[in-house]
Amino acid sequence: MKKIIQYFNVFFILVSLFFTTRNLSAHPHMFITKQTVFVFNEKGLEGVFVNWEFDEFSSVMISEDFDINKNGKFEANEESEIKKNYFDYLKNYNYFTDIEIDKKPFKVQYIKNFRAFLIDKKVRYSFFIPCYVAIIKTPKKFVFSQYDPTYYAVLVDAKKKGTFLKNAKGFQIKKEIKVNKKKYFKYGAMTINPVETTLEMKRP
Amino acid sequence: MFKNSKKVLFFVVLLIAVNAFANPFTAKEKIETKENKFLSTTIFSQKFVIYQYELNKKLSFFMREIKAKKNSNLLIIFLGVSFLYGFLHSLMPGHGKFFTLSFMLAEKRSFKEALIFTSITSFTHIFFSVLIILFLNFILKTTITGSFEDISSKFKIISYSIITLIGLFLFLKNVLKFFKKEINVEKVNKRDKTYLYSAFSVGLVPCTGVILIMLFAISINYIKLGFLSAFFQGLGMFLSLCLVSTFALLGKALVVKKTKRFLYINVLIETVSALLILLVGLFLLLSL
Repeated sequence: MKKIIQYFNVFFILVSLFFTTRNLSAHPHMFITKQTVFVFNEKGLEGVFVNWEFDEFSSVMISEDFDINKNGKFEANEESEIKKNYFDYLKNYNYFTDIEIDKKPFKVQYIKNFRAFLIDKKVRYSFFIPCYVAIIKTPKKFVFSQYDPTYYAVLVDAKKKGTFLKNAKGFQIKKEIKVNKKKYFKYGAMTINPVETTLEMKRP
Repeated sequence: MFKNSKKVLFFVVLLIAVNAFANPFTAKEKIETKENKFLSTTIFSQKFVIYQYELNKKLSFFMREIKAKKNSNLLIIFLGVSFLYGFLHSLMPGHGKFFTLSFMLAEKRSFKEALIFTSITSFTHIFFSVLIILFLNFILKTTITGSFEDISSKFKIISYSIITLIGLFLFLKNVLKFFKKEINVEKVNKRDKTYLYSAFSVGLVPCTGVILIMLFAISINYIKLGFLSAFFQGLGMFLSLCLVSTFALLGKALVVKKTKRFLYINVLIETVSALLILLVGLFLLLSL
């Protein structure tokens, strides 16, 4: 009888694994390579400029639908259709962006300067996330990560220039990129920990 | 056995918290998501997804190269990559593994029947994906991004409805066995073809992965390559489902011996599995 109970335990643990998830059948179908640029001005951090490059299969899906005149690039009208039909809904997910400033969450309400391109048959989105952080002599901690919580898309840092700083001269900034193992999301038998970029910023 | 009743209750409650999958780029309503710290056991890490990304890049690269160079060696490698991609992709959540496992546990089935079940599931999954993309692209000549989600959700309604009904049927059948005391492990109704309908209904949900590759093949005007890739992805999926059904049948054979006491355990496993099919099918249907 003990053996049977053990087997049942294994069975229930396996079944539970399926259900301890927000998304029973979620698995990635879209791969996005991202570049993140932290943009500064004379007062401090101005925001984050993001560049997403879709994988070729997803690019074909988007370009087939939105490159209406099939000329291999997106004109202004096509770009605005993309924004309306294949980007703006991401507001529901804060544009896949998690930000913390000194351990307080910052909700991304809007973005600026959305652009869509078709370069080398790959679709690229670029946009700016305004997020003002005044830099003073006391250090401030800014934590940034991007991931799709529904797990339809996987966002991966570009191998070259995945993350960099712009106009950061005059500030002391320590950058660290690491997986946050304290934060995790489960999809079936799979656990995903977000990759976070942490900036410790202060004036010298 | 009652020690496990809390666990049964636990996962039934958890069912309520599960969401069905949708494309966040086109979904007008937000899918509620929360951080989940329960059960940190991980079978697949994020590296597993990165391997898929690498295979995904290789597939598109090979498709372009084969078209340009018409090289048969490249074609063989491409078919191998397609097979591997199909196998790895179907190991991710979804793709009928849960239902395959449950159907194998819910009924007395032989390995031969398990093979038939998994092959029908895998190739129905591929067939409908290919059919949808051909229909959208050549007959409706419509946009893919929105239409696919619409058609896919209709297929899901049909699939989950059939699964729920089959789950209900199997559950009632197993419960009746207790009342009628018809508990006999040797008794297999060879004419009972419920499992064929089950396999078909599980496979009915189209696979976005196959659709994207087919669409890519159409865009480079080399649709034959899309068909070949889809077939080899189907073989990869067949392998992963075969592993799941073998695990289920072997596991059940280990637990159940041919003595009267174990016959009741066998029926209990079958009844619980049928109930799971019913509940998961119903939940997925309601979450659409």
